[in-house]
Amino acid sequence: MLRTTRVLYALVVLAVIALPFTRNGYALATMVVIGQNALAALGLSLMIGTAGEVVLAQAAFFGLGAYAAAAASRHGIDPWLALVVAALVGTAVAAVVGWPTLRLRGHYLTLATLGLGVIAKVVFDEAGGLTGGPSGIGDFGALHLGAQALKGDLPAYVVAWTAVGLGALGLNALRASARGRALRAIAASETAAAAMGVRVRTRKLEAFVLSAVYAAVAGALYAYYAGYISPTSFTFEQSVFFVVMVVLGGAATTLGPVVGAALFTLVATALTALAGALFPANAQGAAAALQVVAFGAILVAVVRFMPQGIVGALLERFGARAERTLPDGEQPERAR
Amino acid sequence: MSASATRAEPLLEVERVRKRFGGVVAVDDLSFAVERGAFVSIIGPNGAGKTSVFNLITGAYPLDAGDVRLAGRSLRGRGPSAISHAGIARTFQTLQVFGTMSARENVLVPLEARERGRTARARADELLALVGLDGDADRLASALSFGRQRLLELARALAAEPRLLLLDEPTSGLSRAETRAFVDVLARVRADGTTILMIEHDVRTVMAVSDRVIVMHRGSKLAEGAPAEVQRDPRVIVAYLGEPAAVPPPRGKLAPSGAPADLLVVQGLVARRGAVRALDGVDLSVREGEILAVVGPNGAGKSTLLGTLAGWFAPSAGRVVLAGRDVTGLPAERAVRAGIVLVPERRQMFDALSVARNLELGAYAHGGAAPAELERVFALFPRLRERRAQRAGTLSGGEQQMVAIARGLLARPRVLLLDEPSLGLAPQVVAEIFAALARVNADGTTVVVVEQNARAAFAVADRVALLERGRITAGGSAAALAADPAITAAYLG
Repeated sequence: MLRTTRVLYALVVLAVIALPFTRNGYALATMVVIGQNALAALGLSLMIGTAGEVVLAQAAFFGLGAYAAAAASRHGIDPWLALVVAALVGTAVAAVVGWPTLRLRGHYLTLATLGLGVIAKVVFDEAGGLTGGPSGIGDFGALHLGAQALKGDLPAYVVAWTAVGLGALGLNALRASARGRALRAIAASETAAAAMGVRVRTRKLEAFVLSAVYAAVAGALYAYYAGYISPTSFTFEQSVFFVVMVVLGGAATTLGPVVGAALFTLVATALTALAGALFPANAQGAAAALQVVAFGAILVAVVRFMPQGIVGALLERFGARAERTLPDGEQPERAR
Repeated sequence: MSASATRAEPLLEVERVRKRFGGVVAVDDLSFAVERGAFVSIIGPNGAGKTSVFNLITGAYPLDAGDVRLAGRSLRGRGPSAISHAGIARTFQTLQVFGTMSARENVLVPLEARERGRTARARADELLALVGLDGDADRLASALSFGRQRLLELARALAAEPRLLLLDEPTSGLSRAETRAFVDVLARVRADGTTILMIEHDVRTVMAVSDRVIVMHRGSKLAEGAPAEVQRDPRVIVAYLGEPAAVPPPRGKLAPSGAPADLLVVQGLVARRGAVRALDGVDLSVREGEILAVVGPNGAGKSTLLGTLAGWFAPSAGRVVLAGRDVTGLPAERAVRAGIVLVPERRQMFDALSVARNLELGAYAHGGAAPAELERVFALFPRLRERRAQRAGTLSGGEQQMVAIARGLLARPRVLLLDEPSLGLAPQVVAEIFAALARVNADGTTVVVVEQNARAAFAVADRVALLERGRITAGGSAAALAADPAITAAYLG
């Protein structure tokens, strides 16, 4: 691993460990949200940065995981086991939807996943028996340690960032493996990859499923933290926001989605505050509108001026310029 | 099936294969076989359907009719990945290396798709050494030179452990020296017992390496036999090489009386492409009414020179003056209006548009083509009149080149720049294109043509400039320079 990468990793890990000791409740609460977003973004970066396909359904899998965990808990399944249930449901749905969908590639695949996201939202709204419909559901318990319920920000913080850490390690290992190389080959030239014997659809399906599992687990953690879920959290806009996090931070790096999730969440929070100050009569609507405009502009600017994302650009700037591709995929190269 | 029967049957059998795209029959009832251990080449004029045959064998296109068998087993209905696992590997005419990965990782991909486990890395390094890329293992594939990328594709194909290796124009774009090196590597590959089927334009290479040659024409097999036989076959000579008279006669055009004015003057032009200083102080003048050929080996900076003149790339130093007006660094859309028109490499058709629409777009900068102007280009290229309504993407390479030149003329050039007009075209078509170029010039258009195919360029040019490593190293009349050993030396290194 490059020295720059190591320094960046160390900084992030130190910040995550140090934060609780500041006893800043507001920062801690924000960091919980960042962690949950980061986990879903990490999964998505596998599709965007490694397989080279943009998926617009990450919020659907996030919501799927949330509802699956909630439903399982309400049926008496232990919340920790319910996390596994969420992952399994994510796997099953992604596999069933992905097998026909992944015949497509490029913009066509993106559009198909957009459709999936929209359909999922309709199901969340309409399947009232399971999801509680538009008004949502609550009262499905919480993660626990022995008999002690893990309520509040600090336990949620520890759980979320442990999951991010494990997720990042897993993603790094995958990128350095034969499967990861096959995925990168598909992104570089699908024709050549297939001609060399790479089973393109199978590899993409694996990536799609894994990406969905990250989102489903993140969604389940969110459900237990929030204690109440409704379809408004799992919209098409949210799927776009996950893409913004990944692209903003850097899709081909492991740190990128984490940094992207942090920046995204901070900016979104600031925009909400701004909307409240400017339009007290309709703060919520104003905040949503501001976010769409601001993140649209940010996405365009990043793609135009920093296509490798913030972390990608930092690595390029500080020493990763060597003509090498690194196991964890932080190649700085943009040909031409 | 008995073991002896297996040994007797050919490794690859292509049987009555047919493929059509819309109204165009790309491959028409084609049959041939390749024996184990053989080296068979497919030649044929552009658009004969050669690459389509590879795409059918490897499953990239489904068959419309017929069958392809490997060692007696039908490959019908199988996809590219399954066919790769059955033992067929290929390289691509237009390079398809995994540019975002290192050379070693490129070779690892097929090995790992076969679960070679721990031996994969050692085998990858072995294959890189076989093609002479051992020093480049950790370099990014996209950072390798064109010639090395071709070698990398070969190593990658070998890593798929093929029983049959398909090579699609493997030496296209390589210098003579690189071609020789490539052929040496092929000899080593063959010594290992790999059966090879190759598409190739370079007849010299084909004759040197093949046991047998298949000649394709219009989607079917025109002839088949030993290289020397095929070479003498009169049908083949006509179809592939063209009638001797198709080569334009030497022009013998003398410089116009009096000192011809310099139309375009280039002084100390410097331009970078990424980290490379592609133009390193180019000085050049183009005279009114002449054809100037810029020749030089691959990577000399020829395309960068034309691209910089046409405003595609910004120069970092130097001056360009067109008819007394400073046009240095004008962006492309303004360079066109000033009269510098580029016919780009690989033609850059608007594939989905008709020929007529492509031509109209050439006249975009001045609000459309006058009927008389269209008449003029149709007089130069009568075939385009017939094909006016056809989609440009479905034309043959030679016809596309004609559209590209006609489109350039409709932009009303003071000086017409052409980048590699002969690229990928069969000799007969090349002669046709260059004859057309001579007519364009006779009409009064000043022409600068960049060519890898020096012989074709010399035949039509008034003057020739030799570009090497970003500088003009020799220049003069075409007649004088044709005998200059500097030209041969530039290509052969």
